[in-house]
This record gives sequence, C-alpha cells and structure tokens, in this order.
Amino acid sequence: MQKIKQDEKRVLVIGGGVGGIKAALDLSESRKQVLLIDSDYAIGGLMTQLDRTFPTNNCDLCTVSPHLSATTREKFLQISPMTELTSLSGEAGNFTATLNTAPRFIDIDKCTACGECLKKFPEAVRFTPGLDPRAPTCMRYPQATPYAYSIDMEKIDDVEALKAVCKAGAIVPDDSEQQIQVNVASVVLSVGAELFNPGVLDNFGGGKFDNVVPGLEYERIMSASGPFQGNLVRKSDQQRPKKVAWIQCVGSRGINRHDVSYCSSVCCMYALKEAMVTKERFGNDIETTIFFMDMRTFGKDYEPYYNRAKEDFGIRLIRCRPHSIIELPDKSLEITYAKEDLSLMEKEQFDMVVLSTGFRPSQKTIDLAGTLGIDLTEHNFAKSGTMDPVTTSKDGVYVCGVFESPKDIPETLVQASAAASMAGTAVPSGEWVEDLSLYPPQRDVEGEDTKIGVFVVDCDGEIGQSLDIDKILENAKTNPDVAVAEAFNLSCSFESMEKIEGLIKEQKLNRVVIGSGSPRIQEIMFQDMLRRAGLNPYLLELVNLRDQNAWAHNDAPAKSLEKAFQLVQSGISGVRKAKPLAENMLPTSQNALVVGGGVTGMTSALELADQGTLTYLVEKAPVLGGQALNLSQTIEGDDVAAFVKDLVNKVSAHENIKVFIDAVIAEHKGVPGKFTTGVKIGARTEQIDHGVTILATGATPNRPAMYGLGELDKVMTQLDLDAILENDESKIKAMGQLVMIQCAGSREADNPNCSRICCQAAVKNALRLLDVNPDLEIFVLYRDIRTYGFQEDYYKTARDKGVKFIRFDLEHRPVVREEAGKTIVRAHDFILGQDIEIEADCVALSTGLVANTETNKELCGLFNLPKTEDGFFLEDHVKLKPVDMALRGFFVAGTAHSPKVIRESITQAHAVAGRARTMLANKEITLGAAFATVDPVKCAVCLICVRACPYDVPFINTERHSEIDPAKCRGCGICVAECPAKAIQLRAWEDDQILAKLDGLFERV
Amino acid sequence: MITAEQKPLQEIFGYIAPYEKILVVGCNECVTVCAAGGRKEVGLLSSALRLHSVKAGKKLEVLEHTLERQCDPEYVDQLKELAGQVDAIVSLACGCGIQTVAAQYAIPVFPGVNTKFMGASESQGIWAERCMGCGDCMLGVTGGICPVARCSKSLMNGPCGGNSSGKCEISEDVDCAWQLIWNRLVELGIQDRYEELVAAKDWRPAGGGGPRKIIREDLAASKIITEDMA
Repeated sequence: MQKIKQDEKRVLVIGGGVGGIKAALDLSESRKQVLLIDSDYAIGGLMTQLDRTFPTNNCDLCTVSPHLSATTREKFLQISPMTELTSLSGEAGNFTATLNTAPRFIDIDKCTACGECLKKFPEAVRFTPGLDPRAPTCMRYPQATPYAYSIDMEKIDDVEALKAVCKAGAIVPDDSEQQIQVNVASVVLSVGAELFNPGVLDNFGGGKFDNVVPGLEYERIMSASGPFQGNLVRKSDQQRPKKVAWIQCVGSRGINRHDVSYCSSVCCMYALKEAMVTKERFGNDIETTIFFMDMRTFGKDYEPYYNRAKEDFGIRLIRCRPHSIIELPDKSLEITYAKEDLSLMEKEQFDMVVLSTGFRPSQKTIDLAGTLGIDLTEHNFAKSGTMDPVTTSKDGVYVCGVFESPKDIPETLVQASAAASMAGTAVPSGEWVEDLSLYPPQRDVEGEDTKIGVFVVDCDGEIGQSLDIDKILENAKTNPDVAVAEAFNLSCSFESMEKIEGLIKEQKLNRVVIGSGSPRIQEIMFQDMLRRAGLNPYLLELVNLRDQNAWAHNDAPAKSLEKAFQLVQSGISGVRKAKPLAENMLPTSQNALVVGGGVTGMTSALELADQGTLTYLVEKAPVLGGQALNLSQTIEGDDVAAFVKDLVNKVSAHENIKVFIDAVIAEHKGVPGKFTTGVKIGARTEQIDHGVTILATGATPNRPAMYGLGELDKVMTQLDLDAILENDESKIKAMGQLVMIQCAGSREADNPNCSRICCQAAVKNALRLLDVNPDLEIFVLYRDIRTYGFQEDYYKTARDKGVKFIRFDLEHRPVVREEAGKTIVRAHDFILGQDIEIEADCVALSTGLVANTETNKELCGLFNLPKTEDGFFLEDHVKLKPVDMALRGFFVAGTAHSPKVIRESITQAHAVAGRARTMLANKEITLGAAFATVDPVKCAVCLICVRACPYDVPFINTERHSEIDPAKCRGCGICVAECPAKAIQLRAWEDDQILAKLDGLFERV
Repeated sequence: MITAEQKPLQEIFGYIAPYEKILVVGCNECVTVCAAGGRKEVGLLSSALRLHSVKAGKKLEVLEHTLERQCDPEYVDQLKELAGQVDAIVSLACGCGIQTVAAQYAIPVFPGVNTKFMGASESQGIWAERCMGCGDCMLGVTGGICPVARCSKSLMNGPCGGNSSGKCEISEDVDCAWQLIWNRLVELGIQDRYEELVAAKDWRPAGGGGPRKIIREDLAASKIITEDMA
C-alpha cells in the first residue's frame, strides 16, 4: 500500500452527491482548499439517476455554479473518487484524516473513456457516464467526474489482452490501494442515504412482480439512457402501460415490520412529478393514479404543482394506503384498497405499479459515524443541533443533506451551503489572484484573415437525436473562412473543452462558433475556454441548437435541419464581425448589508461579522428579534425567547456589526459587488457601501377573517394560543375541549400555497396543551397533515396521546358559531359520513405566514428583484440556486423566501452567509464588455437616453453630447434601442454584428 | 422645437409607387429629438418601404441619409450625389426642411412626416404645443403661460364659460389656459395683473399680414460685403 501525507490544511467533504458537490463548489468559490471524496468510482450520487426533477420538470444541475470559473475550481478543489475515510484524529481546526483510495487500475489522466475495454471486457469494466443523458454528463461540475473507466481486476484473466485493448496505455495492472493522511480543518458530511428496498415487504410484490417497480426504477425506465431507451414499457411484455398506479409511503410512516416511522419528505412530490411527466411525454391515454395518505406538498410553490397535477394533468388521487397487490396471469396487477367513505375493500387492475419508497441510512454511513465519533438519532440519521441544524455532536464536523434528515434537492443545497459556510470558517481564504492572470496572454487577432472554427457540442445526444450533425458541419464548411468544423459528444465535459482548446491553438483559429445549448449557462463556460486558448472571449458566437431546434421541432426533422443550417450560418456571419473587447474591472466593497433583524438576519450578520466582514443590519421595527419574539418554544422543546435574547446580545455587542433600528432602505444603486444604499433612520439618511445584500425581511403571521377570527371570543390563532400557554396555564387547565382548524387562510384560492409550519405548530401546541392539561380533548380539523421528516414522530405521539384528527375538504369546511354562550364547531366526518358538532372552549386557527407584501414590493422595486405571485422573494432557481437571487450579489433567507420553521430559517441564514462569502472572495468584479457608447457626431442631445436609462447613467456632458460611463452601464441596451439618432451602440451587440447575423439567417430566403 | 409625426405608411406608399429608386432623408435636429425623423426613423421607414415592395412584388431600392439640418441650403447641398441617383426623395424633416430640399433638387420630394406644432417635451415621449409664433409675445403679462397657443379660442382677457373645474370644454385632457394663468398669478401674488385689459390683438405679425420673413440687416449685409470683397 502506498502512503502519502499532505500537510496543507483543507476542508474535507465526504460524499460526492449533489450536496457534497455544492459544498465543495461553495468552498472553492470562496477560495478555500477543499478535498471531495466519494467511495464510488464517479461522483454524482443519487440525483444522477433521476430522470427529471420537480417542480421544473427539467434537469438543470448545470446551473449550480455558473460563476465559478474552471480555473479557480481547479486551484482549490481536489476530487478523490473510490476513496473512504478510515480514521479521523485530532480536534476541530486540526484533524488528521486517513483516507484509503482503492485501486482503479486505470490512469485517469490517460484514459479517454473510449470504451474499447468495456467492449472487450464488459464484466470487468465499470463505467457509468451518468445513467441518464440529462444528468451527470451534463453536469458542468463535474461531468461524470472523473471521466474515466475503472477495472475490477479480479475479473480479468488476461491482463496483457486488456493492456493491448487500451490504445491510450491507461491500464495500470499493478495499481494498489493508497493511504493518504491529510490535515483537515473541518469535515462536511454529505453521505446521503439509500432508498428503501420494497422487496422485503410481503404485500406489494416489490422485486417479485415484473411490473411493480420502485420510484427510482420508474425514472430509469422513462430515461433516454435507461433499459428501454426512454420508452415507457412494462418489463413483462415490453408494452406501453395504459394504467399506472403509485403507492405512497411504502416503508415509511408505518409501524409494521420493515417500516420506519418518519416521513421521507420527497416522495409525494416525486410521485406527482413522475405522473405528470408520464402524461406529458407519453400522452393522455395513460391513466395515472396515486394512492396516498396525506399529500405533502409543503415546499415553496409545491402546492400549485399539486393543483396542476390534479386540474391540468388529470392525475387521479385516491386517499388510501392500499392493502396489497396481487399479480394476475397477464402480469397485470390488482390493488386491493379501502376508500375512506366506503366500508369495504375495492379491487382495481393496473398495468404497472410504482412504489414510492423513501430514504434509509445505509450501514456504511452508520459505520462512518462510528469512525468519526458522531452521535446518531434513533433513526440512525446524524444527530444535529436543534437550533444549529448543520452541526453534529462533534466540533468541526458538519452535516448536510439527507444524512441529516430526509429532504429534497433544494433543501439539501441550502444545507450544503450552510455546512460549507460553517466548515469554511476554519480555513483561511486563498490569496486573491486575479483570475485573468491565470490565463495565457490574449493573441492579437487584428489584421489576421478570419479563420473560424465551428463546433457542434452535443448535450449528450439531445441535439444528435433529431438533427444530422454531420450535415450541419458539412454545410458550415461551405464557408471559405471556416477552417475547422467538428462535433463533440459531451457538451460541457473537460474532454470536449480541452480538444476544442487544442484545435483553436493548433489551427490558429481566431473566431469560434459553438452549436450547443442555451447561452444562459454555456456562454460563461465557453468564454472561459476561449480565454484558456489565448483568445479574447468575445470572439465567440453561440448557436442554441438544442433549445431552438432539437427541443422545439422534434416533429419536423427536415425543416429543423434547414433551420439549424440557417442558425449556424447566422452565427458564422455574426462572428466574422466580432471584435476583441476588454472587460472593465472594479474593486468590490467587502461589506455586507443584511435587511431584516429577525433570527435569520441576525444569524447571517453574526456569521459574516465573525469572519471579519463589516455588516450593516437594518431593522424596520424598534427592536431586533422579528417574529421569533412571538414564539416561546420549538417542537423540539427549545426555548426560543432565550435563544433570541442571546442572538440580540451577540449582535449588539459585535464590533463588526452596525445595527440600524427603526430604519428602512430608501435608495439603492450600484452593481453586484459594489452597491451604495441609503438607509433612512427617522429624518436622517445614511449612505452605506456594500458588496452583497442579504434579504431576511421575514413574513407576517396571517390573520384571515375566517371561522370567526376577530368576531368570536374563543377563536384565536396558534400564536395567540402559544402566548396563553406561556403566560396563563390556568386558562388551559380550565378548558375541556379544544378545536384546531388547519390551513386557515392557506391553500385557498387567494393564497394557494401551503404555509408549511402550521401542521407542526398544531402538533407542538397539542402536545404542550396535554402536558398542562392531560384531560383536555383536542380535535384537529385538517386537510392533509404535513409533518414531514421527523416531525412525523410528534404527530404519532399526538395521536397516541389521544388527539383526534378529523379531515375536511373545501366542500366540507368546518363552521364555527356561537350559540347560547357556547362556541360550537360543525365539521364533516368522512368516516361516519355525517356532520358532527364539537363544543369548544377554544378554537385555535393554524393561520401560517404570508409575505410582507408591502415591504417586499418596495424592496423589489428599489433593488430591481423579482417576487413570487404571493409576494415572497423569487430565487434564481427553485431547485439548484435556492438562496441566490437572479441579480448577483443578492441572497434571500428565512421566511422572506417562503414560510419555514426557525431551524430551517437558521440553515438558510448560514447558507446565505456562505454564498455571500463566495462573492466577497472576489476582490474585483468583472463588469462585462457589453456597455453602451455614444457617437458624439451623431448625438442630437435629445435627452431620450438620459430619460430612458433605468440606472440614470447617461448625461449630457460639457462637450454637448450624451456620455455613458462604462463602469456604471449595465449593458441593458435600452438607450441603444431608443436613440432616435442611432448614435448609441452596445459593444458586443453592435448593429453590424446583428445585421450580419440577419444576413446569414436570410441568405437562402 | 418643431414637432412632427410620421405619416401613415399607406400615404407614403402611394407617393413613391411610381418610382424604383428613392432616397429617404432624415434631419438630426427637431425631428430627431421628437423621434419622428432622425437616423433611426429613416432606417425604420426605409425597411418598411423595402418590405412593402417585396410583398407587392415590386422593384424598389431605398437609399438612406440623415442631414445635420435640413432647413439650411448648405447642408442640403450634401445630398447632391445621392439625389442624382434616385427618382424621388422622401423627407422626414419638418415642412421647412422638406421645402429646402425641394427647392434644391429637380425631382419629386415627398413628406414622410406631418409637421405638427412648436412644442415642448413634457416627459419621455410626450410633446405639447406651447407657441403659435404670433409674433408679439405676451407671456410677460400672462404669468408665463400663453393664451394664444394654449387657450382653444386664443382669448385675451380671461376664460370663456367653457371652463369646468379647470378643464377646457373641448376635452377633459386639456387644461383651461386661463385657469392656469390665474393659478400662476395667484402663486406669484400678482393677481392684480389679471384686471388689466388687453386690447384687441394685432394678428398681422402672426401671419395675418402674409408670409413672414426676418431679415437681420447686419448678418445679411456682412454676407453681401464679403461677396463684394471677393
């Protein structure tokens, strides 16, 4: 065994799934050394096996970190696959980790993944370039990393024959296990969990019946690279099913043998997604049915997704946990189930049944926890701080993702950023080196004859499956100045990039046209590639063959090809006119602005300030604390008041935090990395400079005029009840019956989203009430109980303790009335099939949170940011950039993002602090070369540009023409379009370039 | 500033129908500022004419040019070469510019805009009439608000009975000029001016005496002198 020792201090990230990748990328973007290890031979984790993800029904993992240049990433991020941690000694800040890397028998640097060895030795060669073309191979970071094969040497008889097959000479027959000792400052655990194997259950036929598949396998079947090339067919007869059923909570939320009691949090959404995608892709003649207990669509904007599934897609939903499945002679399946309103079993036939299985910690992670010495919960997940959700029981070891608790991708990414942020505090940031200096000097192409390279870079067959790429290239070559025209298969893989880079240098190309996917992600990436090849990044044209051709015109291949010819031609014509442009750099402000002084804002401010960032904290109210001031306890029993008091003290005393209370944001200008904001405190306005802005403005407790709230004395909100519990227990002791009504003001036409926190609030208060008054009869009227994750345990405890849960729906709403001094709640009981009346000493409405509509509207106006329909801040990407706003330098956390419990708000607070630091790690910002310039001779000083500019940049100078400061111009192009004298041009988008593109487009018309 | 608006395209199509090669000329002064006839509008109109000709299956070549100012013969001289190549000209200048071009070239010159009024810019994209060129400015006694241009009847001594809540009876969107004048006088504390009667206006300087002309003897004479000296 080889032994290696590495002394440079770094963060160790264990687990290369989506959470680990995100944590590692955040750390390297913050210029901290990070080592990412994974026991598998390629990283990617579970997400790589998904067909598409909710709620966008796309896979866009490539959007995770578009601003991290490949150059910076390579400098700070090291990846070791096939590597496991064997011991961790020392203490936080100075651990020694011993890592074992299994032999791969392949030299990663030499392997080209040509596939020859796999063809000859299919049994012994392992390679999963991504089971799905939409997943790991289109992951920018990292695309099926490493992009290399691995060999199971034990299965190879003839080593020489294997060596002979490999033209690259990459086979290393005497490769051996390596042991590396690394100095580790902190550890991030992102080891995920396994999916429950339903084969151990005896009633659903999982693993036994051909046409019963777990959810993940169903995704594989639908996937283009899956066993049936993306055709949805039954395993038994290769026929397309007409009726597909999903059964929820298989192995979860149960007390039977093999069941776990907790809720896996993601299965409701993935079942809806699978059913919707099935309808979308395979037509409406497939009937889809979901058997569920409670529909748990509690995430941000997930409820409208559920509504769409019901209303637009016609997904059939049956509220029942089926009893069993039997296989019929034709391999169809008969599900036996009982409906709520019928006292008998029903039987129904389906062609295929999908079992929605949830998360289980694997034995390996349980063992790893032992090696690390961290505590586990009763469910064998990592035990984490109740108010500090990414810390483990061991100092310096942090956890994120499903290993902490079951959660979906956005929440995993939030935790990953939070864990990276906290773990990163132990490692100093690398020296600031201007990225540009890491590139070779740019070649001067002025005066050279145009020499164009046209590269069609396929997104893993997405383009090739409907377009003849060879013909596109042939057509491009008819241009005399196109010197190279080639195709590459993996759009964003390092290999494709390196080859193009090589061709640019070798052939001395001076213009490049890339036919690939959307420039939104790919432009930065290919510009980076041009820089590496020594070309100015603006000598590039992107042609979006994927979105504008392959995706749009699947049905008309001939016309689509013709259009592809034209698009490529327009790219070629445009690139001829492209000029090398210089980018403007500005030093960033290293300060942070946090808007909102609640728990979220204070937590973010503290973390930034602890790292030496001067942080301005602006609070509208006269005191810090926000909505948490109205809460006494969390469901786990933490004392919220004491926690908030402690935070306020720390924030107030911190030398790096400047607090403004009674203050509002009045003005704002600048560019990401260098903002100036006016804070109005009373009559005074103070101007502050900051590089990043964190939005933590919280949300407002809803008080809808429903069920007698505000009219009947005994009707109150859960928050009011919380106050009574805290201050006046005698009132509780005097009560005999209490009714809670869920979803008051949520999941309604005027506020369609689920407020997420109310189910756990009801359960929490019910348990506290019973502690005070064990004889109290509590009735909870609910629509779906959404106690996700481990909250389910509290729900179960509440039922065990006798709390009665009665379901209602919008057609059978409870009615609260006062009659002869008594408060009576009338509800419908679906099981009895009749209305019931409950006399209540207290009616507590679970009212949830609504957006601070006015504040958010004002801030969105000032900061130029988007909102959701219900008034919360809208993040850049619901799935993959859950706390970044679309405008760089802005981050959103806590209930300003969407309703959530304190613990989740704190996680987001840490996450945004970390995200903010990735931005602050750049001491300079690139403004981009696209800015407007005025031709003084043409300018008619009409003022139209001065009036049109949303950022107030143009002015009439003393030379009597309009002037635009390139450092302030955002390159939006509005003045360019408006100028009646055509005196303004936008660099990189000049008229001659656009007209050349149009000429290219219409050449054949 | 003189304001203008583009003419309906159909009208312009009609003018140029007989010709195969035309020149569209813009002006970089007033009509640029009011977004009716600058370089951008020249480009837009030319494109529209080309599209129309393709659609109609007709041959048409359109040249484009924008002059610094179309109401000065020296600038208009710059069109000589282009004008020699075309059958007709469409001018996007105000009426003054169109006539200057027409005076200098012996080919048909058509208006591409309707010249509207002398106006001021109220905000982006909005221009309003402020002056009718009456030749005898009375703004000094009306608080800086012109009753000639802004009163629908050009009344000289207070509003008519059509003033309703400060608006003119012709439209709710038109302020009563005399209401504005009164408000302004009150604001300035010189309401007494309102009582001074204005005599019947002499409309001869306003054009009632025939086409007007200004001759600056000094400037005009110096030109003659230099010519003489040459």
